[in-house]
Amino acid sequence: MKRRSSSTWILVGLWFVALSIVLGTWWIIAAQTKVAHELAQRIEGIEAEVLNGDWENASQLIRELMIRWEKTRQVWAFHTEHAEMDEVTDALIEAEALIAANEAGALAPLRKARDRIVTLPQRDRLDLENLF
Amino acid sequence: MRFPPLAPVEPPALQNKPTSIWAKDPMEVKRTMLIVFARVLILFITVLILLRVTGKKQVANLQPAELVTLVMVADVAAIPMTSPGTPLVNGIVGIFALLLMQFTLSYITMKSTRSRAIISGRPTNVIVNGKIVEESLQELRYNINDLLEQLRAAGYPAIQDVEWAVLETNGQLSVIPKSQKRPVTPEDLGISTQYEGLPVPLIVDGNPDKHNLERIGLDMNWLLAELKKHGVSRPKDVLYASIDTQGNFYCQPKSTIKESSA
Repeated sequence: MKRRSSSTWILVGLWFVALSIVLGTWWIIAAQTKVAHELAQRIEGIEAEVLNGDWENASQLIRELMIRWEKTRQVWAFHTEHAEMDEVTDALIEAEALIAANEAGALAPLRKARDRIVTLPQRDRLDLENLF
Repeated sequence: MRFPPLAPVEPPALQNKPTSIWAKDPMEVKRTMLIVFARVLILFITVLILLRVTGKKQVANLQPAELVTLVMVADVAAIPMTSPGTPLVNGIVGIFALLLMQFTLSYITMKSTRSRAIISGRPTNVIVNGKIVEESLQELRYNINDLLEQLRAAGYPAIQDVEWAVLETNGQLSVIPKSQKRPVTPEDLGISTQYEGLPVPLIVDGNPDKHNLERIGLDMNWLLAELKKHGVSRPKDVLYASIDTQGNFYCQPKSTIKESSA
């Protein structure tokens, strides 16, 4: 059997790491999309409560959502631009304050937060739109 | 869609709300400094690994692909280094991608002559048999002044002294002078010479190099005996010691030892 040089093994190792990065990124995006949809559903629930005028329930739901988002944010911070996540955080803080004041205007920051959360995994996807 | 009627805002109630979990931290600025500091250390080590893996020639003679790697690695590392908001992993993956491309290209050029010519280019003869090759200069967009400058830098101010000049793929000019103009060698004079290899370092900064001792078939007992002949009792007191291919032992004690013994 022909003995391979160390360069060959390093090259094979590097390509193996590259493949792991590609598969790992694909897995991260899939997991991120799943969490994003779960968060989006929660926000839709809060939006429905705001529309119904149930401020107490909306306040409770957004508090829970913010705790969930903070945990998610800490994980996503490893691979997602912090500024993009800060926009979601700001929108949620705004919505929380408006809901506390029984303001229907809370729907706007909620919609913004929902849109940003759903868009975050899409920005990391390897497609032509993101490439160019 | 109709929204429910707006409720009056109550500022005192809002102020009494529990502090948000994203409240601004007064230590945030200092933390950012520490993050930048830590990121610089991490990226420095990453870039250092890249340069070590890509090889020693990287620093001295740059092929086009190697130059691209070096230029790009600085930019890729700088962004996450100075922007704490950008995930560090983005920079590391970028550097890894450059390392992968550089290593792959090096491997391909090592294995295939044809791809070597495509990726690194081919050396071009710019002076052949003492005459400038105009076609080569035009093809390379290389003017005569640049050629003369590089010839002067190589120690040949007159073109008539040059037999061949080759512009290498890394941009260096290799000059082969006419046989009458090159330096005289012992062979030209018919003088026989002895073999001259490299002296082998045996002690550097007080540390004996056991690997080198073994390589030339010597041991610590021999070394200690030699040191004793030079008035030194311990290898620790030696700044540098070596042996040449003729067996001549060279030893320089540390200055502090010399002063104390004087």
